[in-house]
Order: sequence, then C-alpha cells, then structure tokens
Amino acid sequence: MIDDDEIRGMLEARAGSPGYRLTDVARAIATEHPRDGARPTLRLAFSFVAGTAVIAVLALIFVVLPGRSQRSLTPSSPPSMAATSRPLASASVTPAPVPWEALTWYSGDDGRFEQPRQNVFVQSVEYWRDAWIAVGMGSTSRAVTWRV
Amino acid sequence: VSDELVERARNGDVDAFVELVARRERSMVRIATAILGNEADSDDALQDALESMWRKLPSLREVDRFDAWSDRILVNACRLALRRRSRPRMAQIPLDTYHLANDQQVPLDDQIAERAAFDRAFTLLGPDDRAVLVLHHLEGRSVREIADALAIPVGTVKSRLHTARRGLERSLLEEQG
Repeated sequence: MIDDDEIRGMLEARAGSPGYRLTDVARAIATEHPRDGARPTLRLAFSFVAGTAVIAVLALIFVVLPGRSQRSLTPSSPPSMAATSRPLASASVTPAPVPWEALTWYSGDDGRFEQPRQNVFVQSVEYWRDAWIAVGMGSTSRAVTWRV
Repeated sequence: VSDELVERARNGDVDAFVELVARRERSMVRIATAILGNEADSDDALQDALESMWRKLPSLREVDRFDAWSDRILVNACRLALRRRSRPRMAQIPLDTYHLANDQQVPLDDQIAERAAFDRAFTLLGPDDRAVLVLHHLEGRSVREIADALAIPVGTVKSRLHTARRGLERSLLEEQG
C-alpha cells in the first residue's frame, strides 16, 4: 500500500520546481494574439459574410447551374418566337424514351415543326405560347425541342 | 484572485492578465509538469493553456470561478499534449535529488529507482486519472474543488481517485514482484 505522503512526495519530485517565468509567456501571448470576444462586431460581420457566401454557393448549385444546363438543351428559337414568348409553366419529368410519332420536332433551321425521325429522351416539358414543348435529347446527343 | 483583476483582464488589460498568471504560476507549472512528466511537454501545454485563457477570458461569466476555470483549461491542454505526444519520453532526474538523499539517509540509487518506478506506474494512468491525483495529492484540492474545476460530479472524482490509486499501487507491486 502506498500512502498519501508517498504519493505527494513522488508527485513533488515529478513536478520539480518551476525553472522559468510563466508571466513572460503570458505577456507575449496577450500582446500578440487577438482574443475571442474582444471584437464582437467584427465576429458578427464575419458570420454575416460567411453566411452570405454559403447561401450564394447553394443558390449557384441548386438554381443557376440547373437553369443553365436546361437552357443548353434547348435549341435556338426563331427570332419571331424568342422575342415575344416565354414559358408560362414547366414541369420536370423523368427522362424516358418517347415514341417519335407522338412528337413534332422543331428543327431550328427553318422554323418549321417536323416529325422526329427517332425515339427521344424527354428532359422537361414547358408550356410555350399555346403549346406544350418537350425538351430533350435524341440518340445523336443533339439538343432538340418537340411540340407535344 | 480578486474579481476586479479578472474583470480588467476580461476587458483586455494585459497587465491584469499577467498579474493573474503570476498568482497562479507556481501551481500551473507544477500541475502541468506532474501530469506530463517532462518540461518540454509541460512548456507546450502551458503555452497552449495561456493562449486559450487569454482568448476565452471574455466568455468567463462568473469571475469568482477563475481558478477552477483556469485549472480546467490547463488540464485540457495537458490532455491534448498527451494525445499528440510524439517526442521520445525521457526520465528527468531533478537536481535536488542529491539533497533529498542527504536529508533522508536513503541511498541515492534507491531513490532514483523508486522515482523511476513511480514514473513508469504513473505514466500507465490515463490523463483524467493523472489530473485528479495531481490536483488532490500535489495541489491539495478538495474533492469538491476538483469536481468544480473538471466540470464532473463529486462522485466521479471520488471514483477516479480510487481507481487511479489502485492502478498506481498495482503497477508498483508488479514492478517489485
């Protein structure tokens, strides 16, 4: 059995005696290091900036980038349609093959709607002017638009 | 430690902070060195603790609990130092060993062997057990004061003290046998 005095004696020996002045270290730290809470306004401003940055990144990921990728799938419209029309509503659909007989293909070259020549994968459906337009990719990976 | 001094340090008064550290200097160095076992690790932990104290002082709500609060920060710094310890461990023999030998009429070799055995046994203890033994036996803190400093229940302190002491005794017995 080891008694209290023995433990104390051994711990005293282990601790030794302070060989340097801790106050010098304390002064150096206090002089050189900024402290939490010393500038609450600055911390608040930093939190605001960080929060705004996070919201901006999330908006970029979930709003701007999907919009850009969807637009890239849509072929250029004829000048007469693009200037005056805008989709009134849209609905996302699961990409799936659609029989080409059900669709009318807008070629984008001469402004006429034609029958597609192959099955297509519909990415989204938008109401444009007085017709629903399906936007998707054909098997040739070319962005095309069909009138449903 | 006076509340007024703590209040001034909280408000960024460097001289007040240095004065606070000066009043606790001896105790802090002894606690860190006893827990960690060598001056190099102790220096690192003390520096981390002082930096943390300076930064966190404005968040200290009860200024009259400064001692317990600073003990907690120091013990946490020692705990971190033990976790990240990578340097080779060395046994340090204090210079006053010779004087102890003269005082107690015990052969120097025996004293050194006893201390080395104690150090090995103590090193087998975890940081929490080391902390309660040092605070209680070296610094003379009561069980309630230790509970306050480490933010744990009084019952847990008693249990840790008991477990740490039994672990120490078991290791020393194995050394002898």
